[in-house]
Amino acid sequence: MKAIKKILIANRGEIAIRVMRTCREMGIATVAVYSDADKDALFVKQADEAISIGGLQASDSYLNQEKIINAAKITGADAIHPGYGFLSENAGFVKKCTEAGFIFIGPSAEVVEVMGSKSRSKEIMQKAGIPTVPGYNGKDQSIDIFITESEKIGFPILIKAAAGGGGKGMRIVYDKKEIAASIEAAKREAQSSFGEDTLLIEKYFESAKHIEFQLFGDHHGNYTHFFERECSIQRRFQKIIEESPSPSLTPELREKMGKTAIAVASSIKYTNAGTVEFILDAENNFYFLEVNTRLQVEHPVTEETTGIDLVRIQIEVAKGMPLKANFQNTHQQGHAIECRIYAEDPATNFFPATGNILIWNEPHLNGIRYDSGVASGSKVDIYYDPMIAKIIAKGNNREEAIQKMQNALEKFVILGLTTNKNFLLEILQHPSFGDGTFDTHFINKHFKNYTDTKKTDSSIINEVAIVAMLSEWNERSGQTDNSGRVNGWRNNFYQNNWSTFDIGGNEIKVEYRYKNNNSFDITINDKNFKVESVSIGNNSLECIINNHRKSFVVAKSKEELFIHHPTAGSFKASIIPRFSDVLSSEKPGGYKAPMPGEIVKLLVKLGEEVVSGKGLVVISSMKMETTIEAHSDGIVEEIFITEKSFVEANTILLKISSQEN
Amino acid sequence: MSLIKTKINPQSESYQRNYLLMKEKVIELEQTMQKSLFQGEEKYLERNKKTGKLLARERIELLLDQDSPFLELLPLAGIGGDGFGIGGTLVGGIGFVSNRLCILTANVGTIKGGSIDYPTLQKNLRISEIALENGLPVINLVESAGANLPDQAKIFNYGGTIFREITRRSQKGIPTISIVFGNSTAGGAYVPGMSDYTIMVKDQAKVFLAGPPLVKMATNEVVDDEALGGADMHSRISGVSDYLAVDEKDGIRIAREIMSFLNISEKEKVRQKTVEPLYNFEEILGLVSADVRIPFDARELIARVVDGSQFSEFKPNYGNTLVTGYAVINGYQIGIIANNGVLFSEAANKGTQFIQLCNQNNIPLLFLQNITGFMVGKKYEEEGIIKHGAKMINAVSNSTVPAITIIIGASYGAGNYAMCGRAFKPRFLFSYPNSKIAVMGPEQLSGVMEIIQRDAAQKAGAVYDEEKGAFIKQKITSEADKQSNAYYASGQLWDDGVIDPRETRNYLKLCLEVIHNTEIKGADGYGVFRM
Repeated sequence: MKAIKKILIANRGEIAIRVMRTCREMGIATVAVYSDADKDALFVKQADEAISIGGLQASDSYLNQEKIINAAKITGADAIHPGYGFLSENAGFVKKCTEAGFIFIGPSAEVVEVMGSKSRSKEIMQKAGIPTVPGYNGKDQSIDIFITESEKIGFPILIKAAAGGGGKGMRIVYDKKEIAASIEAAKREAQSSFGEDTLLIEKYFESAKHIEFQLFGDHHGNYTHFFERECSIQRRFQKIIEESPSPSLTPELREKMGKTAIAVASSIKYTNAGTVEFILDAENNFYFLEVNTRLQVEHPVTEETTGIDLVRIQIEVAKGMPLKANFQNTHQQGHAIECRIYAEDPATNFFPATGNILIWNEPHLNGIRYDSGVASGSKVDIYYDPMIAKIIAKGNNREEAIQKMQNALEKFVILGLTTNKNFLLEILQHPSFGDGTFDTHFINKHFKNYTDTKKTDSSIINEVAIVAMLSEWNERSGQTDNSGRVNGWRNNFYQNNWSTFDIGGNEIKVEYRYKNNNSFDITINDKNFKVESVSIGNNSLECIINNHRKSFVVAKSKEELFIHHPTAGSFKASIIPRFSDVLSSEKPGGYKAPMPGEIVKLLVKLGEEVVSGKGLVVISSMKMETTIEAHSDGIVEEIFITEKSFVEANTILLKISSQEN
Repeated sequence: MSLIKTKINPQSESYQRNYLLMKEKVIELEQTMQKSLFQGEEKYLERNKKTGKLLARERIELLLDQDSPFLELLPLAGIGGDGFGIGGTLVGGIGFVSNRLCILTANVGTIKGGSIDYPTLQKNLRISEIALENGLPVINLVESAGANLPDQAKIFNYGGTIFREITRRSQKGIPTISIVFGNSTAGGAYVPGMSDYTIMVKDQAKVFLAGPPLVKMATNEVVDDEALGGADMHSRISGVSDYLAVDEKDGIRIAREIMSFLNISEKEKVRQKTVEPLYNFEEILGLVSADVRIPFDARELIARVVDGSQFSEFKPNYGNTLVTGYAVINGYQIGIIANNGVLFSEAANKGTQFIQLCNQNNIPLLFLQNITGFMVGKKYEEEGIIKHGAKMINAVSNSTVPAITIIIGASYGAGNYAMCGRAFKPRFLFSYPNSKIAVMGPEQLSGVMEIIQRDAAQKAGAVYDEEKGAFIKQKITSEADKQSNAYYASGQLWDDGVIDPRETRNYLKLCLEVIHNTEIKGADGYGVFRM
């Protein structure tokens, strides 16, 4: 048996912190590696040691194998834990780690390599008698063969990049006529994303569930599984809510699928933690999809229902310990749900959001676990995945777990950063989620043009506006101890005082009159409110609005107030100044960056004539590329940026003179 | 300092009765103040709004710092007269602009084109005086057609004071900023013309000595008003305007910006921590007598105005018809002199001594007037009440610490003088709605008149016509009563405003802030005291 006294974690964020937690419990020292962008990150502070590996982009940092192995050498680590993503499924890296004398906490390089290819893994599984999704993954990549194969499989079909993942290069084709164009587009995308354009096609299921099984294998030929996870709630092919047990499995089906999962593991002599993904169709047929050769993001739901620490077993197996015999007797107890908190805006097609987290306050509640990579003061920037934390709720049954999760999400305060928190809440409240009849199209089906209705509810917005006004009042009166200076007193009252805020694109004018004893008469759009400010702390504000006492959390950054409403979550109220500064007003014809990011490509030259709709600049942010298009005809008058440069949100990129001028 | 222990019983019948009477007076005041907000007939307001212009009071509200207090001065000037209405065509007051105390004035362009009637001129002059005395910068929001021509005889001569005062303040380092929103013609053109900073609003400001018709009459030159005196011309060619504002809001923004960089040395203000009074200010209505003939203890009022209801009384056991002592209001130290009855010789001497002490210690003074006069009669004349009163008037006259006077009841006779009446130039003077101001009470006045008439009749050997006498007496009484009324006084600008007694502390808070704007320095000497 090999000794592991120090582990280097080749990852960042919440998963790095998660691995460190088990290491600490096992008395193992931890080493973090971090990029320049992460120098103040939470996981760096929690590690026993940390090595700067420089760089901002993943390719210069967390994907740089030499730098990471060198960090392990410098710190004298015994083993490397890859987490998920980054190098976790990179066979070359596994090999390099092993060659350099480090224990790689995961399966062998061979298994990682084979399972990394969709077509090869499928071939192997077919040989082992495992049901796979009908499809074609031959070497002949001609359009004709794709057409005949598609007809054989039956439409609709799914086109995928053989080397792909994460939804890149995926296309659904419903009709023979569309196939040629789709194949060409998918090839281009595959080439640019993965450096090779080999495609495969598969049967596409209109209604299917994504069920996966947690596998473990040791170096002594023992295999076990820790039951399933239901991962059908996905947006853009990424999971956002997972749970265990699945509401769709009968005990018989569970047993059958579990046995298949073990068969998968034994067919490839799998070691360490892995996940077998299945598609479960409407008729309860299941098909092998792939094996993820790593710890999954959603592993906590398994831990919460089985009581097993999966990271601990990973380390034990890596040391050479055999799997405990009594793992065979593990059973699922209660129900666990995980919600992934993404820095993104569900209302704008899940566009990634960046920013500073002003307040991050996880409510301490019974049965709620947080796996978070951030805290108050953390910065979420453009370089890495926008998944920043996970909430796991454990209940005696599914209803209770959902109820607890809702409560936790409502009380969870995240200010300063746009997240999918309210979107998660709406999913949890959806009847189709409640009765378990959902499938992988759930979000597309029910939340196609999602808008957060709480964010447009005028009674909630009014309350938010009132809180913004009270908070501003307090700040002004707090600047001087002189109660004679700031009190809005009038001896001959003429009109209300006022503050104006932009809340979700709505201009809200709060008209108010200070009475005394911290009470105000407030009018918003002809609605009257009697408001008493009860207490205002550093970030808390408690007030009575028309006899209803409520607590809010408030944080201010520059001219923006971030307000947590007790039932509707976080809001941003931008202060609209009474006087606009003439000099800083927008340049006509100026184009601004919609978000912080890197200028990937500049598509126009100075003096170039452009027509409306022409792409001007491509910005990359959080793994997403956005093209800024001209919204009117004109001539490129000024360019303020260069390729490869980084810009903040609202930076003016270039200026186009309109043709009328 | 010790706590003033209240002896008021809000359950008592006399308190309740008085409360209702005072409440009536306060409601009457509120209704009168409401009328002072008039800014012109609906059709003019509508037209103003359509052209995107703000009203005078809206301009003031926008110019003020958010949540700044605003003390409107002389809101009832001209009330009861035959001018353009309550408050005239000018709104003026004190508030904070870019964190500095200022005087703000605005012509009400929607009443008679903002032309100046006689009360408006008087108001302007008084506000100008307040600015100079307290070192307050002035921001004028100009839109005025100039002197109301039918009033010209009353206005023309003293009107020049407005322009003289602008430059005299400037000479003392107190700037005036004018934003011109509309017409500013003839004499009115000298308001922006004399100001330290002038902002003109594009397409709206029209500033010229003579408008196109008069120019045509005088020289036969034909010219339109924009070319003759528009904002653009004055900003680009004549230089009468320093800043060209794109619109009204921009003009106000520029004025705020100028205020923020003005290098006016603001005096370091030494304040203690503010403590609110212990007792409810609402009770002021129950304790201050609605009828000035009924005495009340001034300490009860003081207890509801000063910080923590704490008062350090000076000579409490001597001359007890005058209450003197030190207190703190909103953190500022102040010496209070309040009447608790007729002035006797001892009371006058005590007052004289206290005024001297405040001057020696550079402490401002607050006079709470409720005085029917000095005691009369043989005994008092013999003990020289005239010379004792004269000492107090001497001290008040030569006192150089700022004073604030509030008439809380009667203000009769020489008592008005000794207690720092209008002629003795307190920095501010306010009246309660129940207050009376006259040479003496109306009953005394008509009674004296009756005695004189009877004497005259007797001397002439004629029979005194009882019926006619009673009629005349009644007429004199009601005339005297009317002219001693607080509103009449305010209309004549004998005070700076009639105030809701419950708001006394709020008024004093801002007034103290204002008087601490300049150095507080007591008198070095007095006139000869007759001993």
